[in-house]
Amino acid sequence: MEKKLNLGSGCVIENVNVAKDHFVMSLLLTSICKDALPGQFVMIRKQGVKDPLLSRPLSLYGVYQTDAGTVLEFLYRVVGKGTWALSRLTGGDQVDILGPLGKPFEILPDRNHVILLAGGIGVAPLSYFAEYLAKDLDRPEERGEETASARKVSFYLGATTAAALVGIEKIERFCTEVRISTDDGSAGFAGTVTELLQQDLAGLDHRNLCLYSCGPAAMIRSLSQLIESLDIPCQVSMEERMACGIGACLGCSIKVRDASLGWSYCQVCADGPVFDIKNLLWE
Amino acid sequence: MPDLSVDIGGLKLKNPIMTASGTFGYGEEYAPFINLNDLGAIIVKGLSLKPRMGNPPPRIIETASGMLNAIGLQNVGVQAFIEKKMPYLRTLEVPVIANILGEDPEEYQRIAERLTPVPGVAALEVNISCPNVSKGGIAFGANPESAIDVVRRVKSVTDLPVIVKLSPNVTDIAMIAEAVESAGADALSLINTITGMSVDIDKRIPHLKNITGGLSGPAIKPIALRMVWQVVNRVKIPVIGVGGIMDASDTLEFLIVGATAVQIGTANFINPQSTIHILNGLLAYMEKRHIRDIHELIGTLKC
Repeated sequence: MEKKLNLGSGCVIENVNVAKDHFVMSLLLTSICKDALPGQFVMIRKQGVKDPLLSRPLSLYGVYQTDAGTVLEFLYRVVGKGTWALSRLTGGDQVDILGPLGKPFEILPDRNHVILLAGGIGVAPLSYFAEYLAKDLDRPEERGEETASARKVSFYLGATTAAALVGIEKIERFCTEVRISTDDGSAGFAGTVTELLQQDLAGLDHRNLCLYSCGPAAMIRSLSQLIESLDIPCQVSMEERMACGIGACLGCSIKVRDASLGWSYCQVCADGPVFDIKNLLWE
Repeated sequence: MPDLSVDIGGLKLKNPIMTASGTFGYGEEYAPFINLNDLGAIIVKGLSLKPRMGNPPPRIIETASGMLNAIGLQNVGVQAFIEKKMPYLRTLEVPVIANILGEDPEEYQRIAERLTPVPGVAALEVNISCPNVSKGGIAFGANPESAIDVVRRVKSVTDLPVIVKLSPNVTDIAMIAEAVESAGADALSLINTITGMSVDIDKRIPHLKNITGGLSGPAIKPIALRMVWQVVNRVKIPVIGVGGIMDASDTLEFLIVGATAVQIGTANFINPQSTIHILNGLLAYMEKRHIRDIHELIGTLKC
């Protein structure tokens, strides 16, 4: 069995400051990650550097095949030492990549209205998913065809304020509709993105819906409460600090339901990062 | 080709590169990256009698040249290890060492009894940094009496080589080492992690849910090296050096002060192929200097 997960090196193409503290970085790999799927991530580090010590996990924002190799794109926010170091990378810098890692988003073929709900930097993995769905990459036999059961993708993007909204251009390109919310009302709906969804859900056929989400823990928790009594499948991409990224160190554990034990710890890197929202447990 | 083989208390290794417990899972996790059979030995995640859930998150935080971990000894338990992990490990041609832990002295004994007859278990590494829950939580390895008790009990039920992994969070590690040797340990490994802490200045809470955790990585290497040197000068049994080893150069420092072998831990997170790079670096160093046997290096510190 071919092992898709591996270690490789890449070259930074560019690393662009797109908004305050937010960067889009693209890099070229000649091996590995060719078939990296939405929801997966990589562990990335600058080659030859041990400070910061650990690699950082970044969700895939884009995966493109070119003549030169595979191009990976990341949209990330500088939140600490590691992401700050990544933001200093420029074209030509060499990086080491471990990936593709984690379980991707699972597409549900009998649900044709996909809702992607993102808070803040959670927009990154869901944008790649939106592009993947729009290009019908899971249905190669239907690409370029007008199909009767065309998929509808609605993207809900929430941020604290208008200036914090990132990644809008890409989602507008690939989604049927984009719904924006800001906590302070400076753009779109005034309120949280889950409040916006709640309003809209009233007018939608739940039997055709499936939800995918990524964002701050508080948002995911609200979402889980919102859909608790609804029969809408929902997958969420979770996050925890990581060291190994491959399920060996047990550092990134989160609490999940367990059929026989009641609950157990699962690894975000290897059992996730995508989880069924109904399996998540909250303190 | 230089001879890298070493003898750890009766266990013969083809080279001195071992993987540190807790950093290498149960071995199979690293199979995509290296040929596991190239290693000197694999030491698996510490095993308790019953499965342990481990600590609530957050469990890890990076620090300067290191990281803190408070995993909480999460493991599948000895029964699941034997049934679910050993079958794969038996397919390998590298010694598998079971690290064992306990909340009371009897637990160590019972785990040793369960593991001894299992085909493929080449040795036991006894983790005495665990809190002795029956005595208020002081680590077994913090005083000679409790360390001796654990080691004697394990030795009484096994004929496998017994390596005892020492805690550095003690006043005099050489004294503990001597005590453990007198209790019958076949080899020692040191050091385990050093207790440390890190704080989130925005939320004003510890970064770890457990508050404190074990420090590992390059930051601890000077302490580990000093402790290995101190212990080597006090005991006759082989000493395995652990603590912040990132490359062949670090490995050589430990061998030169007297370690017979080393364990590679945190380095595996930085590069899952670290162990093999270290092995190749060691060979290159020896070939360049026409050193034919690793024992020409071990314990050759001039001072």
